[in-house]
Amino acid sequence: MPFVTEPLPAPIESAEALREALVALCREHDALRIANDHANQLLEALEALLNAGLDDDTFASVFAALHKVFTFTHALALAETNSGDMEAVVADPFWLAGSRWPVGAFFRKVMDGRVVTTFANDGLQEWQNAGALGLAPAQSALYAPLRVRNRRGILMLLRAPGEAGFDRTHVALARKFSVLASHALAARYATQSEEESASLRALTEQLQRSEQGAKRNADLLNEVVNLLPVGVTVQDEEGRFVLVNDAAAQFWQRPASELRGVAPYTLLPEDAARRMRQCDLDRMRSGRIGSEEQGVQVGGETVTLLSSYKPVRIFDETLLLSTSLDITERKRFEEEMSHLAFHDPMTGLPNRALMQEIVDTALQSHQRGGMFALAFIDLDNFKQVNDYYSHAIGDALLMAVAARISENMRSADTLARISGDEFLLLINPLDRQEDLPPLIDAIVEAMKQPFSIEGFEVLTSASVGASIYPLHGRTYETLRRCADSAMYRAKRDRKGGATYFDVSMGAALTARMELEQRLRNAIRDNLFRCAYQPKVDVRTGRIAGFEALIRWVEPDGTVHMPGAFIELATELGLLDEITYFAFDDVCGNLGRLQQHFGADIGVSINVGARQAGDVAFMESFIARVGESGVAGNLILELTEDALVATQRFQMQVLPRLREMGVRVSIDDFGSGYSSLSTLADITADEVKVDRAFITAIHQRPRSQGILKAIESLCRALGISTVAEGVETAEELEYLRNHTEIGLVQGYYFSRPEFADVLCRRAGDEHEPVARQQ
Amino acid sequence: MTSMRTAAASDDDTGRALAALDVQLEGANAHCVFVFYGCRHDDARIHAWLKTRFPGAAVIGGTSCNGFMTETGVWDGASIGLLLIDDASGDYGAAAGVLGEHPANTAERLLREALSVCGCDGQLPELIWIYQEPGSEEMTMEGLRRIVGDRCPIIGGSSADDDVSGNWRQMGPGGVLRGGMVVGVLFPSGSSGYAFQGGYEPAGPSGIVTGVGFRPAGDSGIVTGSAGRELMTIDGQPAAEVYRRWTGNIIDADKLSEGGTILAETTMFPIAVDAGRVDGVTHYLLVHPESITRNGTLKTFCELQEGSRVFAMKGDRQRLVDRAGRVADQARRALPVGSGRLAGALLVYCGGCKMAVGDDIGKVAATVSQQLDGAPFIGCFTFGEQGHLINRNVHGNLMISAVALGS
Repeated sequence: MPFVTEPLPAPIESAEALREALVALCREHDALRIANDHANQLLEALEALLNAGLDDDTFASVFAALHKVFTFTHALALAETNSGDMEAVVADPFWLAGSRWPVGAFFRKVMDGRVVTTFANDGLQEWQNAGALGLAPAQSALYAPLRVRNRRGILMLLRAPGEAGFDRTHVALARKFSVLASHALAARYATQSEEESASLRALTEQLQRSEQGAKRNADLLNEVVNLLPVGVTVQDEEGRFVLVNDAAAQFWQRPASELRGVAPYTLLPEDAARRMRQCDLDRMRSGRIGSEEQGVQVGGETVTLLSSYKPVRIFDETLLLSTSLDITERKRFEEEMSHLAFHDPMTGLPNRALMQEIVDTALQSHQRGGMFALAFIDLDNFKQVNDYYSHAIGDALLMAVAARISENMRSADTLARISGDEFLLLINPLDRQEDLPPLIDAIVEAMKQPFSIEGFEVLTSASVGASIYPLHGRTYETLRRCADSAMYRAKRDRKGGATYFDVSMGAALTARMELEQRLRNAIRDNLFRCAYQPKVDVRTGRIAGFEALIRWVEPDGTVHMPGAFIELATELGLLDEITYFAFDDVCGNLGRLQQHFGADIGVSINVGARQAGDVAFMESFIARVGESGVAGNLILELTEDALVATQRFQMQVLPRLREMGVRVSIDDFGSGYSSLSTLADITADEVKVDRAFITAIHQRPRSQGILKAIESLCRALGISTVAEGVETAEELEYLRNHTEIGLVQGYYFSRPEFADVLCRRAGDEHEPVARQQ
Repeated sequence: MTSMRTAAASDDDTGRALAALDVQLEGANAHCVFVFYGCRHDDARIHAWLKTRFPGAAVIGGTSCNGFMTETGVWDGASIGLLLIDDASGDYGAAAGVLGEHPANTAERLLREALSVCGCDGQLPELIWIYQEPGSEEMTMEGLRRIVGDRCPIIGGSSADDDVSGNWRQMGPGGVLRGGMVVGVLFPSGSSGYAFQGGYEPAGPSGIVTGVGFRPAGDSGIVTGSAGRELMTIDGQPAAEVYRRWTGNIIDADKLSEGGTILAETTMFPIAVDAGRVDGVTHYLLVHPESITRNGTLKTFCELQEGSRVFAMKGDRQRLVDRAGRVADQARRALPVGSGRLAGALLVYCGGCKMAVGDDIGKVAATVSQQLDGAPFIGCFTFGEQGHLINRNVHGNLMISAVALGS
């Protein structure tokens, strides 16, 4: 029976229940396997016991059966003697036979019924003469009692010193073997007389003909059946139990002995009794083997049984043979695994996979008409909550959000957590479009109320986007995308608000989807190249390096600037591949650029804020840099926000980059939220002053003051400064005459150009493009 | 036939608490007695009372962190609790001694003594129950495993006090010990089941242990070696810094530079080592960081091996509340089919987890009781837990261990 009917959606956030279920299933499996092995071994032993000749020594026949059950290096069957000690009546190896063993407290304990295993025997009085027999006290031993007629005995099994000793499982098995062997021998000899037939088969035939024999057979069968881990019953045509084992009796909460001869219907209420009787009759008359799962009440608990039944015909009587296996635990684990597979373990809400099923069901039920809505709910600033408080508080907030949305939605609607801080609400049914805003507004307003989490008052809000079936789509995916798109619009326009999908968004969504497809194709076809913008030494006019800027170049020559695709690429998780394209381009062109502009030029490449904090990406990037051999000429450009926010970059990545000789530059400095003082905490080689401060700097005293402050601080920290966005001669003049900034970059010198263009123009490297035009 | 019962009394005055127990236990008989109590009690007096009240019984126990729990609920730090096993057909033995310089040898000796006391020399017990001073658990486990390997479960806890000030004691058949260990061997006439688990999940980061310190070598300072409780470096970086980064800075920056106890901060964020896999799913043995030193070393309650991978873990309060009940349930379900009804259970619940669940500890006791159908049980709160995890006897932190005995 499969545990999960559908593939597990990934990822399951908590594997705790999965681990527990696996351990329990393994335990159950091991227990059943061991029980099954034991039963098989014992049945083989039983056969060996019964097949022994009646004239054989009784202990010897038991001894022969031992090999079917245990592994050992020495075995002795000890029997009491008239002189008070014990004698090995049979042994393996044979020369141990005849050895005499004193009886002390230990042997008496075993003969009284205790099965014992030892890890050493040197403290036992019984072993005082064992050394003379060549036996070592350090041998692990297993002792089991045996009784044949009026003679008491002990089975003693030994393993060689150094071998794995007997354990609790062997003790359990020996306990069963001891009972079985004693009982089988008792049954065998109880009716045996000196003149009786020579084999147990003959005895069996005799028993079958006599009431006493039948009873003995039944007893023997009961002993064997009782060893089985499944419930076994045999009912006659009236439904009375002819045979019932202990495991089956447990389900009736009565000893097996009380149930034999009783019809179970008498133990049930009238209705249940009638149903069961009818069911048994149907099974008996069907003539077929069948099985089914059924729930039964045992001691106030509902137990699930896997029952198999088979009607059998013996002589003139039809009997119903049934087996029942308690699979309650397995069912519980199946349900838990199923719940895990389809629910968010943190909030207990349905997950993405289940929500899709629920929406699919809603779609089917509305095929003939009716509406429903899908609302995409995204927490605003959740990342900041996690960063500011802790992930534990963040998790608690998500649970509280789930609870609050649930309190403010209609009871018939369904809420799912589909990832991180994203929830999806199915509003079904929706009678009229105008019913939707009040329902959404209630949630939006509720989310604005403070949350009390572990003593903190946490304030947040949610942006909500909604779409309606059938107006905006007829599949789950379309409706979800529409709601998602509307949510993004809400986030962009006014966080903490709601937006409803409309036609204009439809056009934007279609355009976005087209762009997404084209972008994916462009990545597949490697349609990315870098344009290089020179960094010029402000005093000498020499090109000191370049900033590599990614371009998407369509086969027809159309060039897309990064602004057209980087945001989407980031959202789709494609930015890493684009960064690798840029890096490969730099590696491919560095030699040419060096040839024309000098071996010491540095080439900057931009790394996104998210990438900087992604240690896995950075490790992979560092590996590529290491293999490329360009580390000494490479500068990584990151925004100040990326550097400040990602401690992991500072602590785990930066030291390794430095070790390789890669330099780090802070791009667009001054445009972020960090203060000048954060420069002191950031380890960088270069600061690029944002173009906002450079534009018309000769006319703006405030920008001049800020630039002076940045320059002064960088000088003190040994960080070189680059002015970005120099577009006019006046700006350049100001920088040259009033600052000590060493490098400048901007359209005044050159627009970003592909490497071959730059190399062609190498002779005119100081000729500003703007002036050429 | 194994029958079990508990008794508990709360009173700051040891004499009055014992008098109350006397009343509850009128006519009770025991072959084995588990005893747990708050560290402020006069335990020499408790021991003397036990010897008079239950002469010949195996006595196993000691101090527990701020109380203990039974089927009737949670008992405070002024309480004394007993679990009695009455089983004339079984054998129960106990031995205790100071661990000294060679804890492994001591543990081995105590096991042999405990077996000898109950006339079971050389015999493999159904289970071994231990209670000891925190600090040498791996070594004592090694000593016990020399004799029985993993062929029978070794279950127990490390004695605890109320405020981690070292005021923990152990009680064995000969009296009260500091720096000691009690070893109990159980041969119940009925069957037994057991379970051992933690309630934490991987949080994501992991790293390789690259530097470990262990016991100081006289005045010469810390000796680095291949195993120990002081985790010096992970992936070549100071362990405390790595841990702080993994956990999103749960440790104050000041503490990182100056060192200090971090027990409270780290309870929900332990680390763990791989304890083995079941069907490809990893099981974790938890390690609780207890303090950091000024040189960035992370001190723990468990030995770590150089070269092993350690994982950042996370827990939450609800999971710790539910977990004890589930572990008790697993122990109960591990009793073989047809072994009769449940006679009672013993539970070891980490003192750190107790602190973490706070006021919800009452729910823990209620959940355990519910899972055991109201059968008698006693649960001690410890500073280290031992149990049988994936076919191996191990020591861990922040774990829960349970033993169920069938009648």
